[in-house]
Amino acid sequence: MNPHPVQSCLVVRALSVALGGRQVVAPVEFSLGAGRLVALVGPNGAGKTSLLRALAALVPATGRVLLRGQDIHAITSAERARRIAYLPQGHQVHWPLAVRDVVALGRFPHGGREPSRLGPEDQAIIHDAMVRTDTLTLAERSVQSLSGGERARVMVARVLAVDAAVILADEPMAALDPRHQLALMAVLKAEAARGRLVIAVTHDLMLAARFADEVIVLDQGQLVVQGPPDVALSAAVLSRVYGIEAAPVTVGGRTFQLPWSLP
Amino acid sequence: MEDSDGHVRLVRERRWLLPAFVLLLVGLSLGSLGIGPVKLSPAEIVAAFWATPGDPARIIVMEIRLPRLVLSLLIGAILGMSGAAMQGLLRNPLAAPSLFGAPQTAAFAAVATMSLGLNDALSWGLPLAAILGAFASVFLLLAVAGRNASLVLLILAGLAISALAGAGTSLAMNLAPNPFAALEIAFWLLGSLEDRSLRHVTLCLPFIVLAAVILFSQRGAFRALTLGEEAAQSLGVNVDRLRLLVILGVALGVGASVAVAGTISFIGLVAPHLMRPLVNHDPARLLLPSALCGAALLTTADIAVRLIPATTDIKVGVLTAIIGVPFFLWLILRERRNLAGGLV
Repeated sequence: MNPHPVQSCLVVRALSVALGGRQVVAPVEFSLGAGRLVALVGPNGAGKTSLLRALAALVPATGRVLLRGQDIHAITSAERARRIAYLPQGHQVHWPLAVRDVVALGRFPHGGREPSRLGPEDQAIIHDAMVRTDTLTLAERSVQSLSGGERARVMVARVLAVDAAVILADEPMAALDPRHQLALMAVLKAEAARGRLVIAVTHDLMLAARFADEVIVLDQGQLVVQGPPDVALSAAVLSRVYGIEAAPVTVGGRTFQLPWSLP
Repeated sequence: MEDSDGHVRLVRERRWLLPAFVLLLVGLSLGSLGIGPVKLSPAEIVAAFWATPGDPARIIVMEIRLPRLVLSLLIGAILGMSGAAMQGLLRNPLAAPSLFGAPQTAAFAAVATMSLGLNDALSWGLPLAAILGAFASVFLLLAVAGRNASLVLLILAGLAISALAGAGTSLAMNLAPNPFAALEIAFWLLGSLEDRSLRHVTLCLPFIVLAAVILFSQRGAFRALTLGEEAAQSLGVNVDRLRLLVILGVALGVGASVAVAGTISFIGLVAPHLMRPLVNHDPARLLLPSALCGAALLTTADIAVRLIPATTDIKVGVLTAIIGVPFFLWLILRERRNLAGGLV
């Protein structure tokens, strides 16, 4: 691990979010390098979703978010949409579109507004995104006919098709079975390995500990700790943030803290 | 279509859709120009266009039936497209301007300015008043309902706005200075394309064209909105601006239509619904077919009112409502499962 990244991909300075007069994210500061999978964890209502939305400039926030040195509010919304891909929670799709058309929406910020008239480059990116998420066989299906796991993969394919430097995913693994959780985590990990910064909100501490390069723990809008999983997800942090006791489990030479009991 | 696994497979392109509509509209146009007290064959219609001025067939076709045909095509088209746009914006197949009180409010605004003596039936002030009325109602609706509004909220707010517009119209009739004014008001409420001139076409054409351009230019945004407002925003769609543009487009289209033809309801609900399965439920590809289908529906209805034997003329707005309301009920029945589940 490089303690001094040559250039941070995303730098957050005194970022705070207020909703309806209530501060849901206190001023937080952190910076994250490219090529990393970052897990954003914390109890319900900790402000994870608000922070993620603020990173994508989807909610009014004070403070600064610098993407490769550039303030995200200083660039146009179109440029921002090309550089930051955002996956909201719930994976909602209001009309039964074809899977291919949903994934093709990822090219929307790049001018690819009509799926039937995309250039070869756009089509190659869409194809690639579908290969990586194993959704090619679903291409002609209606998205509302898919199972939860299939739909989650399609939504991730849509986000990958944006081909952005930063991927923000809000609980991408919620309501998925273990197999799909592992598969999706592997996809996100692979994207990070390709040089993107991937930030995923999750409640699954074991998945976060296993796969994330870095973990940010949020509680009541405050950043509690940022660091590698064994530091950020220590028994002490879990006790303080969640009010639970954890049991250490050692697998393959690594020790994980398994949420175990109430004190 | 279903494949061997039972999966619903989508048909990607229906290239016959637009040519089929063009043929249908040409046929309906010939019907609309030919049917009436004096029946004219297609050959006679074509001949009438080239006849010398003063020829009776020419007067019937050019001055009586052509304005009526052009208005039914224009108004049907913009009502169909407005419905598709509202459904795209609100992501709900039960959304339509007429359910939310837009035509009623436009009619009220037109009636109010007429009974105040500000406008007569052929001045530019009339479409402007109707457009302002429609704009106010759609704006009020979306403001009251708020972002991510449920359908219940929208329908309730629409009901309140319709009721208010209805009460206002009743008041205007109540206060009408003479029976003639009350009759003129009654005309707005029924909705008709009879006895319209090219002047009426001129009054609504610019607004309808502008409305169509505004709504059609946003088609890509409707597709992005399929993923919800947040995802659409993250794809670079300015959702607030989109809302305002849709309100503006719908108000221009509905207001201009009401100004020349009175309230014609349910085209905006029915047309997108019929077209949606043919465009794979894609809200972007829905706009143009909905416009063509709306034009075909209204022209058909306007031919039908001429064929229905009745002692008094049946107004086309009455016919669309009589067909549209049961359709709406059937739609509610079909969507009942979704409505019962996902509404709060």
